[in-house]
Amino acid sequence: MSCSMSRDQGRAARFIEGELPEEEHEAFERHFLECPECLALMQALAELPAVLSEPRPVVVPARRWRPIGLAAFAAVAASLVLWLGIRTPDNTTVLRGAPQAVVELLPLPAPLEGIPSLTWAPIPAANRYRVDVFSEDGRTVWTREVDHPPALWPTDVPRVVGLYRWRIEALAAGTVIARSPLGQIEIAR
Amino acid sequence: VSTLPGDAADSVQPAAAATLPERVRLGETAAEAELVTAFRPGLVVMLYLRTRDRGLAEELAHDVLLAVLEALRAGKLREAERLGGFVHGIARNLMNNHFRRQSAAPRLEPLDAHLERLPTPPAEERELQERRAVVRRAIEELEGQDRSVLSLTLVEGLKPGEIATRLGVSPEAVRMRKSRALRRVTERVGALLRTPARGPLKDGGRRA
Repeated sequence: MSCSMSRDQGRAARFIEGELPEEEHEAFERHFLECPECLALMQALAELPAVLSEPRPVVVPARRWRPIGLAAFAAVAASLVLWLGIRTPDNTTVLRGAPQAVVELLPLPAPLEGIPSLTWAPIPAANRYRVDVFSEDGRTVWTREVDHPPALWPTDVPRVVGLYRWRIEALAAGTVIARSPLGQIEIAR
Repeated sequence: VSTLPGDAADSVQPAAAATLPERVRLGETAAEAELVTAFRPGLVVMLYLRTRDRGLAEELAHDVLLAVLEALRAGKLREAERLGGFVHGIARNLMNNHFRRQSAAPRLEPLDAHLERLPTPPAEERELQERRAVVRRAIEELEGQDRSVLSLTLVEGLKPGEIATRLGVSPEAVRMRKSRALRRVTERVGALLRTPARGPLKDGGRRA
């Protein structure tokens, strides 16, 4: 264990991050092709995506769900819209200086046969909507495209107890023309 | 013609490597095997980190090694001390060619996309699991949001701006957390690999 480069953790981290200048990046590649110590470090770090993708311990599946803090969220969102926004003829809100319109999230409706659903105000120009649901730590839990609201929680995605964030993107000819702020939903025991 | 003592991986030692291209040129089959054993792991990890596709990295590494052997058999490299750079150059060229072809041609789904991969040999599988265990230990020590940022960057391939939107923090905070998390994981993995008890993996998965 004598390679000084393998102890230069900053360089190795910047290499993995893709932050080294190309010349330095290639020099490090040439180095670890022949340096067993640095190669071992790179082989391990190359497993980061695989390890980070591993499922984390699963909590008990949900039996029912309820939206939380929606009133507060809606109030803040409405204030922001009033403060920043102007209404366009198609009833979408355009933020000053922002390139895209905003999809308005609507209060979560009662579950259909126990299945949570998400709903939002349709945008006339949109012909599809992409629904993204994220875990609290920002990882994608599920993504679906639908023609119109509402979107039901997919039956093949376990309803694990916890807080989730959700977002709607309105699409026209495959292009995102409007996006919602993040909403919040809780799957409760 | 000199012979290499012990494991083929020792061939990367300067004195031994000095003879490798010449031995391959002379048609010594053992020398070809030594070259493949010495460079394959590094090529696979280098190409994987470039392409983020393990199957493609394995495939390209195979092509690189064939091209290197062909060139050495034809006597295209005499200076053995340049062998590492020579292998790296061929790898870079083949990878660039691959990306050029890919951008020029319509994207086709690989034929084996839905087929199960061939099983990994037990020794390699064990080393892989040991590596992952080391990384898992390093990751466990990260703060929750640092881990999330790392995951969203490396697994979902998101840019700091997008991660910032999801987590409700500023892009600058995401960049800072990402760099900090990677530095900490790298330090921890490095330290764990240097622990004597780690044994087989302390030298790139090659036996010492």
